Amino acid sequence: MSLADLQRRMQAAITAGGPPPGLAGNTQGLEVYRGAWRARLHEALRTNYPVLHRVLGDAAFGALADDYMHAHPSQKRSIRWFGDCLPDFVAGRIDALPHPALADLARMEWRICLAFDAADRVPLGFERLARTTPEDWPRLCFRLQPGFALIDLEWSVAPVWRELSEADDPNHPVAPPERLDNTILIWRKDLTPMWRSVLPLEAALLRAIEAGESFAQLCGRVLAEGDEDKAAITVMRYLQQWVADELLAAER
Amino acid sequence: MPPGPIANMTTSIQGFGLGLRVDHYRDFADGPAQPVDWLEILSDNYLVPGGKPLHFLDRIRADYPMVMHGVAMSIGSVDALDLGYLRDLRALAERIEPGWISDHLCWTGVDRANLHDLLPVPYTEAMLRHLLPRIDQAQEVLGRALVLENVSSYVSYAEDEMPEWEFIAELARRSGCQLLFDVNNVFVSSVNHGFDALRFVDAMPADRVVQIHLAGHEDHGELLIDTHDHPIRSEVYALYSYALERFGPVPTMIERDDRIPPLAELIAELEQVRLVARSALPESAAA
Repeated sequence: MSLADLQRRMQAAITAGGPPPGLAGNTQGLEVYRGAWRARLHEALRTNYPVLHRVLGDAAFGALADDYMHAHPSQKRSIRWFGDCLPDFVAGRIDALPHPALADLARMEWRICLAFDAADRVPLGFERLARTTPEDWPRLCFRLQPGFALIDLEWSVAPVWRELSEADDPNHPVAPPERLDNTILIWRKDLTPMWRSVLPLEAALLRAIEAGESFAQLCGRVLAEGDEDKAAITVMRYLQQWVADELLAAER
Repeated sequence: MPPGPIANMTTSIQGFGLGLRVDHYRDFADGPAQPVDWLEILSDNYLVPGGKPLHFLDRIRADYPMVMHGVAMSIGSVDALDLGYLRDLRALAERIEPGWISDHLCWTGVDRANLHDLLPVPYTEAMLRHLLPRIDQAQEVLGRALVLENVSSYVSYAEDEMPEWEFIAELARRSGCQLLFDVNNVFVSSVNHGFDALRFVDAMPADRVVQIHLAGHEDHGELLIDTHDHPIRSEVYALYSYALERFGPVPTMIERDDRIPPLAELIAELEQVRLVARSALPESAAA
């Protein structure tokens, strides 16, 4: 048997219960590899989706993990990234799950997970804004921190996420989320992933920054909302909030 | 072994170390100097863009020498080596200047799948010939000798043509790789496959062994399982003692990956390792 055939048979024996290549000695050994493979991938999903795990409980989460690991076998070098397709996977089988909000919950958890070890950039400081001359303000552009994400949700899952991620009791009861179109901002402040709800105007301005729009263009967006006098003040207030949140990165 | 441009930037590693785990970040970063001579990091955990892992890595590296230990090279797979992975490892090595970079003599998947497990290779001449150019390639990209660890195993292949120890000794002789000798893995495999662990030690090329791993395991009756979630067992200490008599004062560490106790407990266990080493080695050689 070629090396490739041996490895393919062994892999199929572990992941799909196929016949192994010729093995010598103790026949229980194959079960160790089968069990370890499953346990390791389940553990990775529990780590990346702790609140989804809490909401579903061990049995239902385990069944979801089994289905997922067969539908999306890990091809990542590091197990840390296993589960990247779980939000779409959950959304695709939402009818088989206890609540339709679980898709939103999975999306929120994965983005928080990505923010955790997103790249480090020096935050933009107030002093940078203070030394911007009046002539330069209109052209001023901003950079968002790499962990930044805006996600549009159909359910009010954020309060549920907060309550369950802070509860010590794994069986902590929580009221199901309500149907509500809302947008969540996710980023990392220093070493800690953060999130908060944002109103449509703030979300629009952040998306405009992401698209590379300047301060003048941001003000133009506020003007379009009919707030002629206070456009610059409104954008400045948001800017102050974003700088305090360390949501913006300094220039390279 | 190709001496690459970063080969001279390595850090001297001596004495007794621990695997750096998240639970102990604060102890090493904020606490007083710990009686630990060096730390082994799980390389794969730091191949991330930024955030907490790299923050603590840099802070702790300022005070402790480190070695890098990976689980994803899959040197024995028939899939092509992942050059991007090797380059990332090299970049991490340039960041922390480790004593060396190790991974396992195993394969982790085929056809791009990753089972995230350390699967044994068949001990055949064909596998030896398969490994040699791959080790060369890895050493070329890493710019330094590769250190390979013997894995614990629960199956052996009917196709095996030689015992594991002969295979490893021959691989080291032909490839120029160095060895991370995992005493617990030898013990676990010796029970699982019914071989004499002392023969394994006797067969190792002592001048290639640069590091020793010690760990605990679980006894499941017919099989021992290498769980790294218990203190080191007395049989493993005995085998360690025997290995040191042959290898000399090789830097040794405890691997603990689950049920991780407070750092003080691991430091107490490391003191026990030091005592065993002192008894095994002539006074002048003990670290």
